[in-house]
Amino acid sequence: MAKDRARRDERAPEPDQLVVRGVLGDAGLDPEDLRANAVANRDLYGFFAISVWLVGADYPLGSLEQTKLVKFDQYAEFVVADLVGHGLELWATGQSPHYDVVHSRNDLDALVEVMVATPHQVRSNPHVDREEH
Amino acid sequence: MIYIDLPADLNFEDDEGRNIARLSEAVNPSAIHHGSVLVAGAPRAWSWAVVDAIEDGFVYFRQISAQEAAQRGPLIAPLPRPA
Repeated sequence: MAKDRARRDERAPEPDQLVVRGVLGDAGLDPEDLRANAVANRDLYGFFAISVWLVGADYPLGSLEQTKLVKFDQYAEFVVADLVGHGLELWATGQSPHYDVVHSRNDLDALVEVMVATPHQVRSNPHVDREEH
Repeated sequence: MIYIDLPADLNFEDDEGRNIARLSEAVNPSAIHHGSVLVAGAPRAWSWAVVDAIEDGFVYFRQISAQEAAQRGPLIAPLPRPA
C-alpha cells in the first residue's frame, strides 16, 4: 500500500523561477535516471514523480548549490514557465524546497519524455563537495 | 573509483528530508540495517550516509560528512567477496 505524500500548501511557483535537479551521470539529464526516480516514487507514494528543487528567496541558487546539490558536480536548470505545461505540473511535496514534477495523466513515458525535451541548461556546481572516500 | 554500497538518487527525499533508495539495489542488502554507515548515491554524486530506517523494501538514510562517518567506525569497508 502506498504511503501518503505530504503536499505543502504553497503559492504556485512564478513562471520565471528556476527549478534545478542534480545530474547523476556523465550524460547530462539521463532519461533512465529520471525514469528510475519516477518509478521509485510510484512504488512508494503511488504516483510517478521526479524530484527537483525550486530556487526562491528562501533558497537562492547559491544556497542550494551548497546544500541540496552539494554532492552533484553538475545540475540541470529549468525555468518554471518552460517546465509546466505540455502535461507537466509542479507539486510542492516533502520539505521545502523539494518539488515533484508530475504528469497530469500519471503517464510515466510522457513524464520522462516531456521533461527531457524541456529546454534546460546543465551547469557545473562551483560548490561541489568532493569529499575523499 | 568510488565504491557505492547503496545506489541512490540524492535528489529523492521523503517528507522528513531523508534520502530514499531501494534495498534490493544495495551491493549487500543483508548488511544494511538501522545505523549502518555506508556510501550512497551514484559515481558522480555520492555521500557518506547513515541508515535511519528500512521499511517495505526501501532504505531511508541521512547524508553525513566523512568526519562523522569516521567517528562511527572505519571508513574503509571490506570489498564483497565473489560468490
